Amino acid sequence: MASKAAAQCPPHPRKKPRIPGPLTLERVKTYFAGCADFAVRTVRRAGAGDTEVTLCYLAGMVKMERVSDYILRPLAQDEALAGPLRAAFARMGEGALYNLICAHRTEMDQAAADLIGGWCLLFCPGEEGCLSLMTATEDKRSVGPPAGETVLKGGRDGFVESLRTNTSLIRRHLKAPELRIKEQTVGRQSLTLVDIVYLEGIADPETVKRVEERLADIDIDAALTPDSLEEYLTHQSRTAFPLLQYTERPDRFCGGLADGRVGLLADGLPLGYLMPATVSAFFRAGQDKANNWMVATLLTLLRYFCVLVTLLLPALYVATVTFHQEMIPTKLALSIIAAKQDVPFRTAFEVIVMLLAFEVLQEAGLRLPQSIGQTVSIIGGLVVGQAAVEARIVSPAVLIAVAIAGIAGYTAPSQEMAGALRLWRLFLTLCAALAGLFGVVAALAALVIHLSRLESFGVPYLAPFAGGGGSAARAVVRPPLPWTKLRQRLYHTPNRRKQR
Amino acid sequence: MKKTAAAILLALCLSGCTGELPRAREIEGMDLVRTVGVDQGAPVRVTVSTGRERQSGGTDGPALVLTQDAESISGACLAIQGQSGANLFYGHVEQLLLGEAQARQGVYAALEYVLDDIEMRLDTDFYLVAGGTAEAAISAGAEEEPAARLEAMAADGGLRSWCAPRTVGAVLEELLESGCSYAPAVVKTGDGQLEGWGYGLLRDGRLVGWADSEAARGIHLLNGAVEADLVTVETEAMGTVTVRLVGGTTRIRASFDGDTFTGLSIDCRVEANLAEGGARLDQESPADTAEAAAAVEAVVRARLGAALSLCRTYEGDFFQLARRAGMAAPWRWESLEAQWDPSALVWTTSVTVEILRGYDAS
Repeated sequence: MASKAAAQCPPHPRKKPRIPGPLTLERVKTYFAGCADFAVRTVRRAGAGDTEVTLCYLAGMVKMERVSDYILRPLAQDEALAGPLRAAFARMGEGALYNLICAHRTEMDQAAADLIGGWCLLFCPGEEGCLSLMTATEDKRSVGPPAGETVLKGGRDGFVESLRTNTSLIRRHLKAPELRIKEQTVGRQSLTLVDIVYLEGIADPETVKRVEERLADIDIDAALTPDSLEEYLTHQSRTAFPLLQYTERPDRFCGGLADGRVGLLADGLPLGYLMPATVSAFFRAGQDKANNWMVATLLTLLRYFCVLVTLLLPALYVATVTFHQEMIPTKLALSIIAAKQDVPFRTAFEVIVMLLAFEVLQEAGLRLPQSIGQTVSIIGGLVVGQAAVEARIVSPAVLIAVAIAGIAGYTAPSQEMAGALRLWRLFLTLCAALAGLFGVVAALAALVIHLSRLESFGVPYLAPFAGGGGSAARAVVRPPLPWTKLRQRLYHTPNRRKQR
Repeated sequence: MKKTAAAILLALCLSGCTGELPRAREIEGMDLVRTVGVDQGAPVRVTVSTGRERQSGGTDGPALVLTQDAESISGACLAIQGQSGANLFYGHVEQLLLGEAQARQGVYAALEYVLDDIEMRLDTDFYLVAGGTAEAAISAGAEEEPAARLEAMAADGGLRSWCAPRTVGAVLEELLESGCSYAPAVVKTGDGQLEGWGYGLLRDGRLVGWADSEAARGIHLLNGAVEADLVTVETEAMGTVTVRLVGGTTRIRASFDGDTFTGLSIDCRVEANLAEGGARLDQESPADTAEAAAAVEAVVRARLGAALSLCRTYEGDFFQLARRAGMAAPWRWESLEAQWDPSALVWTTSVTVEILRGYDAS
């Protein structure tokens, strides 16, 4: 279907070079004419009153102090830059201007990219091309605790939007020289920098190669949202289940690298991706390694149990109440009958409506301003729910079943996994409404078949429960850290030994 | 995706619903039948009782009791559906009662109806109504629904030692295997309440006699199912002493003289606690305790004898003694089976009572 759609679209050739023609000051001015942030500054060199050099930059992208102190000041004051222009130009490139990064550009493409990246272009009359000096501003959100992951015990630094800051956070956690950071540019318009991060000798080279190839294959306009990378990297659009794990915590990200996984960072996104990602990875929280192993194991088991509850409770309720009443304990059955007196709707309809209402409440809660969000949640949850029960619109048993299922769904550490489970929960409920327990089992079979067909960068999604990849117990039980001598088999790491 | 769809379709087909989905029934449109009674009628009379209907305000309405005569039990159940505004659901039937007259005529029809019906379960408790009809028993007790009363009685069965519940499945299995079984009996008291009253003895699918009082307790001893039964004995040293039987095991073995079956050897070990009487705590002498134990042993022996003599009287192996003896010595099974005759049953009992200190109410 995707190839058919692609065949019907007009061609999308990549223009090379993007800005044809030679690199000159006039062409740069012409190209950026109309941009309010484009600025040009002419500077007369010290002791060379006859010639001027021209500085081009984009206001807001450069750090003004850096431009003034490290470029303008030496130009204006340094006698070493007086004299013939050619020699002065050469000395500027060799360090007379106090800049860590300086490059000689001769192509419009690269010069324009530098300009947008916060570099200054220094044009000297008669010289081919220009000098490009890195003076980008460091204005960015300061490193703070991650917003989406609660940290009770451990580092409270979180990724920010700046790629270079994120890589520095990783370098602080993993000081090994074997840490590799390979960069690519994604997005024709956004030119987003994306870094592939891995530990050489520990990450599977095949996985690294796969990631590089898939990243290079991405040809889109802009990589601005997480999905811009996720959906293109995973190549699996027919699933709601996440195939890339993300985290906002550098320590968790580095833990994944140390386990043999490959990481991905993108400029503008305050999160890091880890791959491959199997289903068991989404049920481990960042806190697990900070807690005692028994507590962590119990919590992991609880999460798996809650998955079953959130998936099956509404469906089993519909199935037993509508088709298999003999399975319900007698007293509970009598209680449900009494509770459902005068409720005009069928059980399946009630449950599905309540599930949808739960989703509506949740979605509304996300959009509401914080100041009124809590009030509306209370009104929606308590008052409307209570009023609905008292008015006999819904029965209390349905409300309880849906609420328990909903709350159980939130124990999943990954929001994407919780979203996928919500979708399948609705599907299971529909199947239960159609065919009772047979429908539930059929839907469960479909779910298992679906999950077994997924893979994340060559690793089966159900690993290590199925498809190899080591002991399934390790996915559920978090053994004491001194006992885990080897990395997990499913990551195909060339060096499995991780401790003495 | 195609494989997934095929798997779903296959699962639905395997469910037996090929071409048709299961029929949904809303639970609020149901009345749950809790107790079913079968009596002689025209020719069969079925009485059903539903759970108490919860009404608004948290109160419970009266239980619904419906009766119908028909040619067969299933015909009567079908006709009863029409008497109720709701759909009667038999999936929660907890007790099946059989009137004495119907039981003397035959129990197979009722038991096999439970076996064959898709809603009813084999773990339904089975009771015989001594000296009365199931309809009267079910209709008794206006304030307490019969199902609740029988449930309470079943829960107390061990404590009071009159009768312990037995399921339709257990009784039917024994009847089909050996032709004999026993089922707990209930009786309607003067104030209209239901009370446990020993066991009814079934042979060839018919009620042939009753085991009440000491014989009923003997049945419990044979099954090793004594739970807090009280025995009061007179002793010289301690006077009147009451002991509570808290546990027991009974082993049944066949005795052979060569290849000739000579009788059953029954070894019963009982644990008891001193409940009342005797000296102050820890002050009985071993001799006094032994005297009390001997007196209790005599009671236990008498009870066992009362139960076992029913086999001779009514010529049936109601308590599956042959099977239990055969399990103890499987290599003798063929010989035992060939020579087994409950009407000429001979047995020797060996009883050991151990009186422990302390009162165990668990």
